Amino acid sequence: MRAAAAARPITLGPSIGRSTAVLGGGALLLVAVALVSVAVGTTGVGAADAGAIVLHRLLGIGSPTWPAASETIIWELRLPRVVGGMLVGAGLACAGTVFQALLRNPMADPYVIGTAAGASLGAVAALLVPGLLPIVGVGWLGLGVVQVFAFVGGVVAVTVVFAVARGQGGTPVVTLLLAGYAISSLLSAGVALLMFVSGDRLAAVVMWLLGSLGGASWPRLAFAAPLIVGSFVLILLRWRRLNALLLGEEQAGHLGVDVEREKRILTGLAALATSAGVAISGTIGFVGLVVPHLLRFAFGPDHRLLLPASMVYGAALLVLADLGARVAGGIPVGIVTALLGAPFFLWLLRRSLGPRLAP
Amino acid sequence: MGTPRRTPTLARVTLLLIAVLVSACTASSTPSSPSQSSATGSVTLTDDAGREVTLAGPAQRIVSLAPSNTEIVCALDACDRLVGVTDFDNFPTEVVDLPKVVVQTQVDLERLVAAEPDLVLAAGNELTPSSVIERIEDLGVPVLVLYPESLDEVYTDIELVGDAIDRRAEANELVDGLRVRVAAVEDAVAGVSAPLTLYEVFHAEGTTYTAGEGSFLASLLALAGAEPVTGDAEGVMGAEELAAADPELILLGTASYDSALADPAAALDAVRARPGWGELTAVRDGNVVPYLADIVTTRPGPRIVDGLEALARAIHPDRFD
Amino acid sequence: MSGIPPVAELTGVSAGYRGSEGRRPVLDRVDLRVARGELLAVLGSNGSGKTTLLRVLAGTLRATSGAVELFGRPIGEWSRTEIARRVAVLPQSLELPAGFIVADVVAMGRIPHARDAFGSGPDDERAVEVALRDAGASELAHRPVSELSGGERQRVIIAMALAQEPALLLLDEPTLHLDLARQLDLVRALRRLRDARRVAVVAVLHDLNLAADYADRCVLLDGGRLLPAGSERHAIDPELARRAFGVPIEEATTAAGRRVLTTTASVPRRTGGEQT
Repeated sequence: MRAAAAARPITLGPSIGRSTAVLGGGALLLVAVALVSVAVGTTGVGAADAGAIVLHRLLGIGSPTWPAASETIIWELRLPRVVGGMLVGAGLACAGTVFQALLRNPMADPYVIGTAAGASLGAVAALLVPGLLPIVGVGWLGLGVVQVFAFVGGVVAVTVVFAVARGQGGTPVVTLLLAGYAISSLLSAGVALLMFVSGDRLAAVVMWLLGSLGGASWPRLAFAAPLIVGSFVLILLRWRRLNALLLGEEQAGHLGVDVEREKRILTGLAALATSAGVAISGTIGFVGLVVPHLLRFAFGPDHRLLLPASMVYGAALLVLADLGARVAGGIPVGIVTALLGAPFFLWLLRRSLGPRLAP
Repeated sequence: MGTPRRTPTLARVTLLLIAVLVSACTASSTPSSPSQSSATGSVTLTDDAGREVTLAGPAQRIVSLAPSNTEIVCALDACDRLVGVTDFDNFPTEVVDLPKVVVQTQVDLERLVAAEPDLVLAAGNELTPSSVIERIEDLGVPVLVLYPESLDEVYTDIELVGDAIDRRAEANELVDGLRVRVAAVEDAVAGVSAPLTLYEVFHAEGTTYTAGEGSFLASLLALAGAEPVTGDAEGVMGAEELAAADPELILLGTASYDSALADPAAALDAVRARPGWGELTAVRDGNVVPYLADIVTTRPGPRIVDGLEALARAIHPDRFD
Repeated sequence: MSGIPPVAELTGVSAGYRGSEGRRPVLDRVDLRVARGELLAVLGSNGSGKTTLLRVLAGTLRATSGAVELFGRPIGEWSRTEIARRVAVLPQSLELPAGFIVADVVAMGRIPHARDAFGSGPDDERAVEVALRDAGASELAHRPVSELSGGERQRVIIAMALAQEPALLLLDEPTLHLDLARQLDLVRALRRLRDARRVAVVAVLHDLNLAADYADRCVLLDGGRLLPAGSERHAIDPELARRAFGVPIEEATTAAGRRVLTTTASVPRRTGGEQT
């Protein structure tokens, strides 16, 4: 007879302690970064005043002892930026995690199946042709024309990519990736053409493409937040299926996952969150690609922990990047994420490849 | 013994996030700039973008988002009412010390709000992006968009600003004076043959940026007694089109920023060295003039007439003492 | 017979893959009945359709003609989750995702039974423990999957299938990578499952003797047709085996009195050179 079974009892999944440490740590980081972000800006508003203003507006306590301008700065300018950064950062990181698992491709990011290209084309078209659709106009659901077109463009592009890639037997992942690449290239060519004829609007177009949280305002967040948060919740509930997909589509099917249906649902949810984020902030890169890898490297590939972690740390990262962008003189946050993301990624690559490269 | 279930911390995070957002949306977002509801003293104006803007009273705290707008305000003797300018503003010299609300063409909303303006003078044609204009208006500050594309429109803008700050009389006086000077220039160059003139705004890699067809600059050149060489609508001109146009006179606006071109001989050499330029009539005849007044010639404010006068002197020096 | 429907029943089933129309289908009018608690060995040469047969039974490949029934219901009426609660598949090869420990990979077998949104209940933990024990992998529970040897990995994957607590277990070459001792452990564990819980097993095996000794019944896939491999007396008929595999098969009796089959095709000890 074989020796007795392992003495340690079996616990499945990340322990309570571990989850709390990871998510709690992330939440603390997020709160700290958010606080600093609200307290810091190009004008001096005392940290104490900033806190008091937030409490006053949120909970109605205290009476104004600060100048009205300070209140506007904190409540209308900085706080929406910080909240916007949280939403977009969390959305991008979560979508990136989903696509990396779904497409079983470590280079997948939220934009890989056309969201960025579609949103860019929509936004650039709207930037160049004011009064494009008078019906839409300014102030539809609190969004400007550019935001509406960006959102619609992203969603439509993903729909087209999915339709193109769909075959009789389902939607093979490789086909989806290739179709995404092809359609993105086509749409990007359109964007380039528009940029070429943009004349003196070119600066505005480039600014949008580089990505910025400067446009975040409460009405826009009110539009994007339900979409992003709703996507989060529905994606979180599917953590088991994402884990199963790591075994490959056939085995996931044997475990009871309706793979084709999951592809549709997960793609749809991730694309919604991404498009809503892009509508607020333009195309911010690297967050959706690097955060999932970093977290997987640090905490493992189990989506039960990885998904919520990606949301919390993605949010913290983007708020931090935006803080850096503002302190550096108002440069687009997409530049900061690229500057942060690329070296991190290289470091990660070397660490994970290291042992194998040894002679 | 059962293992305790993993607590849904994420559920709590989500709920907290939703709670924050919901309260944020329901919390009032009315801006807190002072607003008077008195009907007297309020004025409704139409700006260059066709927008109707109502001011509660004459503006006392003005933010300017373009140097030309700043110059108009100061020319109306209201420099002391400026509370924010751009980092490109340099005239009159006192504005250099004012708080900078626009840095590297980017509007810093925080600084703008901190300046507590009751009027913002923006630049048209998306030089101030319309999204920024919307944001400023959402924050409760009226915005007037100025974008003059001719001398008459400059006069209208001066009068518009005059109405906004209750200095209409001064505005009228300023405009009258400008008209007189413009008429004097027209008289001085009347009847003289107009040379085919290229005004170089910028040059790089075989492409020249000059007056656009039908542009403000082209009309100034015409007023100054020249026949302007124009590029496309944006003023872009390739080397071949330039050779085909073959100007008789070249004014180097770039010399205003590049001291190497300030000397006529050096400028001529530099220009001759450019591929294809040596064959141009202006270059062969040595009619390449360093032009040092580009700032006022391309800034559509009250000093645009200074620019007109400088142009006329550069094109027809013999008609001026 | 009692009214209990068979675990699986194939009637006149043909199946193949896209692009193979015109050629003979991989499975050609196959009839098969798997009863509760039956240990069935499927034999056949490479490419004879064994994996295809398992796919049809698992519901991942639709038959082009004929009827497929699971537990008395046509397979088309089953949802993927319903199938996964009753049927577990061990694929021929499976790559395990790096970064997990063995217990969590085995726990993926509990997915079809998952009830609440985020937790793993005591049922799941117990099932994983039992599955690991039955697969002979208990000591591997806390090891990272990237550190496992081929045989260890195979046992973990078997455990994952067992964690599904299936009524029908479909095993595609489960003895791959396993040494002799562990092969025996595996088939004994399958016997125990059959005895304790009436689990039916359909296993693709290459080892004729293992199949003959441990399976209740052996079937042979040859040219797309499925036929019994033997008779009441002998689980495997050497003549059928010879026809199916294309090599001469001989029957022999060991000193202990066991009947074994082996191929008599010989591979010369020395190549080239001297003729003996």
